[in-house]
Amino acid sequence: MRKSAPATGAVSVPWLVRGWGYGLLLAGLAAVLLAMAALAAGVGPYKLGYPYLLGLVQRWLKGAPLDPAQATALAVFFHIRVARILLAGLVGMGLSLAGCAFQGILLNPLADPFTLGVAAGAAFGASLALTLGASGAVLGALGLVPLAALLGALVALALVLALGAMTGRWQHGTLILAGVIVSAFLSSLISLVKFFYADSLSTIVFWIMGSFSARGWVHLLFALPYVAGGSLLLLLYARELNLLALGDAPAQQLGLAVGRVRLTLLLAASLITAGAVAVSGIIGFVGLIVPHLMRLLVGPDHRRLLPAAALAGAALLIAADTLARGLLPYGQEIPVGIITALLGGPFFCYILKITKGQALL
Amino acid sequence: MIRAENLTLAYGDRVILADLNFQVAPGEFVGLLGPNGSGKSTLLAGLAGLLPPRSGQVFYDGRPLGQWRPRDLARQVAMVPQYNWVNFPFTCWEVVLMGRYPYLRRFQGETAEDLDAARAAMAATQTAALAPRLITLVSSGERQLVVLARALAQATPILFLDEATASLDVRHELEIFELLSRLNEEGLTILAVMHDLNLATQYCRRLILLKDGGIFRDGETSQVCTPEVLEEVYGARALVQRHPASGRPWVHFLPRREGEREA
Repeated sequence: MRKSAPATGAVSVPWLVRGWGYGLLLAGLAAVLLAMAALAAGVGPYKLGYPYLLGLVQRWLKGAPLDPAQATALAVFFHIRVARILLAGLVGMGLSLAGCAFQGILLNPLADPFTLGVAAGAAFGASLALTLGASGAVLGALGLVPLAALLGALVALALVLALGAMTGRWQHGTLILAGVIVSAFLSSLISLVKFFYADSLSTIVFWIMGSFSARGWVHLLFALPYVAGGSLLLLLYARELNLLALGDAPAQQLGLAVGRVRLTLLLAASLITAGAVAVSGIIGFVGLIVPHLMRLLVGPDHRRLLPAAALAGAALLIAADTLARGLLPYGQEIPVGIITALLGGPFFCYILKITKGQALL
Repeated sequence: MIRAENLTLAYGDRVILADLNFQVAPGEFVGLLGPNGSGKSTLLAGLAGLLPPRSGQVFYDGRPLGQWRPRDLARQVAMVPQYNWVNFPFTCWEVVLMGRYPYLRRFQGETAEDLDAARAAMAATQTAALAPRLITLVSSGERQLVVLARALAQATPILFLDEATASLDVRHELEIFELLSRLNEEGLTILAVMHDLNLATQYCRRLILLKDGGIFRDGETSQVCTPEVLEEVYGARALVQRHPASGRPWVHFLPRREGEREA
């Protein structure tokens, strides 16, 4: 519930959602999310109609026997599509929340989940794993790639934080600069790997583009602790994020232990990003554009912003992944990272135009 | 009660203020003055715990600054900084309400008391009409008033001001100082960095003049405000009269006469 302000004067931003509108917006976003998930369940190279699927699930729930074709269809539905939809939702939610947090902590509208080098670290880890023969399963059905990507992300993050700590207490400018430097350095290492092992060039390139292709429950379970744990922490610290967004001195002067809280939130947002990137590759734009759009709608108060961004991010990435699976014939997929950037760029330009630039804060 | 003991403040290797000793008693209205770069803002930052001292200590009520939890300190000291640009489009109401953060527990929403404190602070600073407007879209003077309202909503016994009325027009500046003067009479301790010497002499009962990394003079306003002291601190010829209305010191600065430049 929003606390009522002593209301006088005109609201200077007409599109801002206020009062009851916020609850309606959340309900609307949740409805869109469910609709997207339902729509996505029926799309894919393996044609399954909704009535047929519904019948299958009903039979399965009753424990009725299934013939081989039906069993295959059910397996496709449950092990491939449901897992993939949930994973896309989880990653979309995580990247959006992390984006909100990074923009707030770093006081920078251009910050996104990948600003602190987490993406480059994950990409480097993954490209090493892909080059050194990643086909071998390590943890159940989980390949070496997500593990290596997660490790790479964490190492990159540690490097950036160590660099950022040199001026004391992780100042915004230093952190961003450290992120840019570490990212650039790791990118050149990735190029080196590509250069020496041209055989794995295309797999590396495709991994970096980001995709949910051939991901299943095991990937979902792998990413879940990082993304869910980090997201929960961000939601609990929404009020502290508000104070950090005022800047260091005001935040500390209002009673926030700035150094400790900022490090906690940076770690939470980075772990979300690392978990997401490890299983899906680098899916850009979601973590940049969703925070901006939602801030435009509900304002910068993170207590309102974070829930809206979580729902919108999940819905958006499920929608983008459905397009990625459904656009090309014969089961070919477009990497979802390409879809998000292709649609996100022009859409953001449109938003910038109708808000006369206020979308950039 | 604020006490600085052998306080030395530095940025990296550059020492700004060395070995300061002074105290401010409850209910005082102290003006902190000095030429550019004399360390006025640095001293406030050091006292507020924003800049850890190179050596020496600051005590609040006899307890060293380092032993105060940030939240407890924020219930003792509020501060209106010189620069208060806000990056995100919070409404002015939201900004003022953040002043209640030191009183809130996690998972606790603002209580009626918090809302009342924020409303009263906005009324006192005449910013109630700004409440629904975005802090990024108000003028710098209005923003200064909103940040002052936030500091008042913090309901602390001590208030630090760093040229808090620098962007305000004459009427607002005077009204704010009248407000501060009233609050001071009710017991608020005020330590204010000021640029306008005459505003300081009108309202501050004690002046601390900083120069060359230390305290040059510290005392009752009319004793500190002498032509000799001001000339030495500011390097400009000063003429001190009585203010015709208030009877307090009234300072004019004059250009140096010919032949005096090298003096």
